[in-house]
Amino acid sequence: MKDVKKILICEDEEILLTALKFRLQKQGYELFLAADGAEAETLLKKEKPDMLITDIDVPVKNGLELVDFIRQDLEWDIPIVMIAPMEEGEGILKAKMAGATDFVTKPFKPVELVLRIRCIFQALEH
Amino acid sequence: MAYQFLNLDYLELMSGGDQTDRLRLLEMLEKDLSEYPRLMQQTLEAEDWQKLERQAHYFKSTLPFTGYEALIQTHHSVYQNVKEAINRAELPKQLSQVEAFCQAVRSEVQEELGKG
Repeated sequence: MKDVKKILICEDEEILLTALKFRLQKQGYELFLAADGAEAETLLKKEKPDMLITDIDVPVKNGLELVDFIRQDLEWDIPIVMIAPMEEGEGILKAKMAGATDFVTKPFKPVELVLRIRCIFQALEH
Repeated sequence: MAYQFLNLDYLELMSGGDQTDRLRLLEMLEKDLSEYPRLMQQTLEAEDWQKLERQAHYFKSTLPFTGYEALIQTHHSVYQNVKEAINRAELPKQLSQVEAFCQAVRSEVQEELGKG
């Protein structure tokens, strides 16, 4: 039986969240959606996803705080993909230093994100 | 059909060729274009800068779906000015420009929606 990967997406921008949901559902992933960092923390503990995709700038707790929560508090090594605006160079660097696995800059091509996700999961399996 | 303002390339990419998803994204785009310029004007009048930054941040991610560069760039200036608390005197004029651009592109989104 095929192992269905669970992905948690944390994004407060509704249209972007919906577009991501459409694209990733078609790839066969099981998705959990959070509109802010606190909701993401709850879903992380409850659903134990295989990957987190988060915008760097989400309300309540931002993407960097989520990376810290996963790496420091939960001590999990699940892949984390950060979505950030092009001008957030410093934030992207901080996210990488805090333990984010990869990042995409907005506006991004969905195929790019899909490929990155696939590569990350493939790398984990080998 | 090519529109004067609307460029659907990014929305088509995001919908991945699925007509139901494409329609849903168009509906969300139309809703955001109708609501956010007015909301931001109201927030500017109330001088609630934190709220205006949140609204401008949210709207920033909607605009690539219009593909309308003049709107994207003008709104980006609004967002930067609000975020960095600079050029506040420019904001009423910039937001009026954003609103006018949104009205123009929204009518084309409605035309596209009318095609079903």
